Amino acid sequence: MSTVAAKEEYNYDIVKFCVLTGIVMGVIGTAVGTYIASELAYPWLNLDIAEISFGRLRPVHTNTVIFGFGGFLLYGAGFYMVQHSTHARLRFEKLAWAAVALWLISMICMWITLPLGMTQSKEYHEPEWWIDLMMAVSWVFMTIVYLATIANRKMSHIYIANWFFMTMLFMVTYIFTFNGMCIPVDMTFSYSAYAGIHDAMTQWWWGHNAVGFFLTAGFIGVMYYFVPKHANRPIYSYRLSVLHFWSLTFLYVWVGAHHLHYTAIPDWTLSLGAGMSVALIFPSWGGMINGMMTMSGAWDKLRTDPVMRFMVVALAFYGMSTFEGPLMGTKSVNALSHYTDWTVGHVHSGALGWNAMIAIGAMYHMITRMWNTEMASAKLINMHFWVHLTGAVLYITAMWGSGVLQGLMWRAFDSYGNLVYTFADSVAAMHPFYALRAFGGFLVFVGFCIMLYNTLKTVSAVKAGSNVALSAAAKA
Amino acid sequence: MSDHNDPNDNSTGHEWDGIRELNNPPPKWWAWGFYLGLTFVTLYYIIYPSTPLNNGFQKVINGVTGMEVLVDGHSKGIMAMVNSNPYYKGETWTQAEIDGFKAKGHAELSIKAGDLKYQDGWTAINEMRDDVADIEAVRAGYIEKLAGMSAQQIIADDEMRNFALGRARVLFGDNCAACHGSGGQGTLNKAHPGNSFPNLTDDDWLYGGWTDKIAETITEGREAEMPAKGGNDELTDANVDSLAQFVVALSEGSAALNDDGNLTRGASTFASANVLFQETCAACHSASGKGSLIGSADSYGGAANLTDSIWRFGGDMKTVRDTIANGRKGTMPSFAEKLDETSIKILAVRIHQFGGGMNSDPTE
Ligand code: HEC
Ligand code: HEC
Ligand code: HEM
Repeated sequence: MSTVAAKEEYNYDIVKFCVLTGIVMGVIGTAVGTYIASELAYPWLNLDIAEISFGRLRPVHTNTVIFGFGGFLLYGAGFYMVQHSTHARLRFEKLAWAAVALWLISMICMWITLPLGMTQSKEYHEPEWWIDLMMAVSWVFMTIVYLATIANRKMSHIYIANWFFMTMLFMVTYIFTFNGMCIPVDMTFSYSAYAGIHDAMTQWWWGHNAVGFFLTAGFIGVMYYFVPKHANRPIYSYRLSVLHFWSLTFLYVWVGAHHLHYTAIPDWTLSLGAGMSVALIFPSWGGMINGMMTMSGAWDKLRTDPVMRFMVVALAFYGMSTFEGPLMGTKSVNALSHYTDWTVGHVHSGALGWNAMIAIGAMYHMITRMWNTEMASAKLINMHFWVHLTGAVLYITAMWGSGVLQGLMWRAFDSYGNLVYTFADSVAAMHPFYALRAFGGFLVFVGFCIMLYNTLKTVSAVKAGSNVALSAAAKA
Repeated sequence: MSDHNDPNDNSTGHEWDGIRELNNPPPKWWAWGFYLGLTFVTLYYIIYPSTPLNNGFQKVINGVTGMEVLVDGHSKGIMAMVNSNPYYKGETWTQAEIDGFKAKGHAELSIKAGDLKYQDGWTAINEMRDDVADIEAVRAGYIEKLAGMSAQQIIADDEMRNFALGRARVLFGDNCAACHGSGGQGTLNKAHPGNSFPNLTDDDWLYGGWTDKIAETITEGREAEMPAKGGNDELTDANVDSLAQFVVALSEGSAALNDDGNLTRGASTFASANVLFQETCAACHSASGKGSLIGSADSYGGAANLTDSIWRFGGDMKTVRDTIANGRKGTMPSFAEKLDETSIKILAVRIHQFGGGMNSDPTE
């Protein structure tokens, strides 16, 4: 067994930058989200300005939270845990900084171009081709740094967290590149390289695996390092991690078709995707169970440690959304849920419940370890937890309610066989749910503001030397 | 609980940054669920069409574009044996339909009369078509009956009128409400008077409120232009002001015109304005000011009645002045391409029954 390299030998500067940027992205992304949610409830809020209308700002929101907040968490936590779990300093540090810089520049370009209406119109892949290129180059740089650091590891085995991270790095490179294939016309416009149903299939092959690899495999990797580390418990089952790693990786790539049920895609393709979606429940739950069981013997931490609470509740939400997803992937349920807010509710039980909470937990963990300090206020972490959780639950339940109501209104017939409701009737019925959702989103935004405040206070206390150093037990 | 999670035994011996892994087997219930899931997919793929196979391609017509597309070969699944949809068993292409496609420019069609209409075998899409067909079957009797009735007959028949009004709810909501309001009440847009839309529930009509005329409006669409200054460039600003005052007075009742265009009230104040009106405006709005329909100034359709208190664009002095000085143009889109004849008939009934319907052409 190798000895842990002295912590001073790790490159923390880049991690610190990513974590702080990630928190700021969280604040911006949820602010834009709250604004567009309010636009749906109160349409006059778009002030008749095209650049800030829902259609233009929605992709700004999704890209900022997924690739801004989620991306900087993955870069930061990735650089942190690859060093810790290999006991080796980051390789090619300049390349790593270039990756981070390119990613940030891409985000800024995205903020400018999307409101101006420059878009590839592919969901979760909206920014134009030249921004795509910057993101792809950044990602490849990140991949090189990651692999090279793992190659330098001081032990023979590669930790499970790194397996998950590596599949993410490979798969995202692959699917992002193929979905992004296009013929540029100028800086503001390009044509997709695919047409018709091929375009649609490629888009959702990407769309679902952005969820499957970026938001799942990558974040499961983060979970596999930060949960046992923070709980100070060994991973519950090595075999379970191997089984669910391979089954998850194998199954995810098939299921994109469930985003296209009852469309022009051939029926058998959709059945293929629906079947694999259902089989995906247990491979997904493998990660949740392994994380939860790792907690055994450390459950008392939930009472005292709000950071642990973030992580455990994240796992619960992960279990819930990976049960709901396969359900929605079957044709009979999808016939009701498709095109409704139910999908949006599902997304946010994944995004606000699972991704955001595990990310927030990992960020608090890294901040205290890297600056070797307690957070300035434990009360504020606790408050962040409750505000975030309340916001997420309000959001999700509002969207379930409106989604199911919408689905039922669209398919209601009277005894003559005539539709009962107009589309506008269903829009009017959404209003209370949209208002509630906007409020839930606002709470999540407030949570991020609390986190940013607490973090800035912590860092400035460290600079001033007035902080409380991290206890030796936590450092171990 | 914690005895099988004891850090002192049962570990793989690997360690990273203090994290170790235990050698526990996965929980039994998880393992069962895992295998159950795999069994489920296997059965699912046997039952439903799901697997690409090189068993021949099939040409089908895409229902949306009318173009011929190839459907890949694939396994048909047990569903094809136990439950084939009526669509699959029944509908085949007729020569007339194929000629229709060819006439539309799809000359390359290789499909023959008697070929199956949809992808053969059970598919979820065919199942959905069956569900839609069930609902259409409920409607079909009524729709067929409607096709042979005039709008007047529908209005007279309680059951058919109720069916038509029920069906019109969504037809009107999805096609017309965006402009005419959800209840047909129209809008007066104060900030942008040009974006106002007429009220269909009152008895004030631009083109006519009897069912045939309404159906004609919906089918053909309407475009009416009120030219700037009535098309008379010689009108001065002062002329426009006095015409605006005159028009508002006609509406309020402090001025009135008979059918020959002579003032029967307000003669002292509006004599000169009426001269301008009869010169420039009467051609469209009629000598009495009652508009093209009632005043039957048949040179131009859609010119509003200026003597009632109902305004198409707004009756405050500022808006009326703006209407006269700068003109207005209203466009009612044509629905001939979008809605079939029966739907248009149903809508004509709906609008007639809003309350302001006329029984016949008032000028006849
Ligand atoms: C894009 C907006 C728009 C839509 C959609 C629309 N209309 Fe209209 N409609 C108008 C306008 C504008 C007028 C007045 C035309 C004019 O100013 O001469 C009008 C006029 C009419 C009139 C004539 C009223 C009269 O006084 O004679 C009828 C009837 C009518 N619409 C019915 C319908 C029906 C039925 C539908 C749905 C199938 C419909 N409209 C959809 C804009 C619209
Ligand atoms: C070429 C025919 C034509 C002439 C000439 C004409 N109008 Fe009009 N006017 C119309 C039409 C058509 C409308 C209705 C426009 C619409 O609904 O889109 C209208 C509408 C109006 C309205 C708006 C009524 C309302 O309810 O808001 C006013 C006011 C009006 N005209 C005044 C005049 C005056 C005053 C003159 C003479 C200077 C005049 N018009 C000359 C065709 C004409
Ligand atoms: C086993 C796991 C999962 C399956 C099988 C699954 C399945 C589905 C299905 C069927 C839809 C609806 C498609 C539609 O009708 O349009 C959907 C949407 C979505 N899911 Fe999941 N889901 C899973 C887990 C997750 C997780 C963990 C997240 C994390 C955030 C997530 C994020 C999303 C997103 C962003 C969408 C919206 C796609 C769109 O914009 O239309 N999913 N998912």
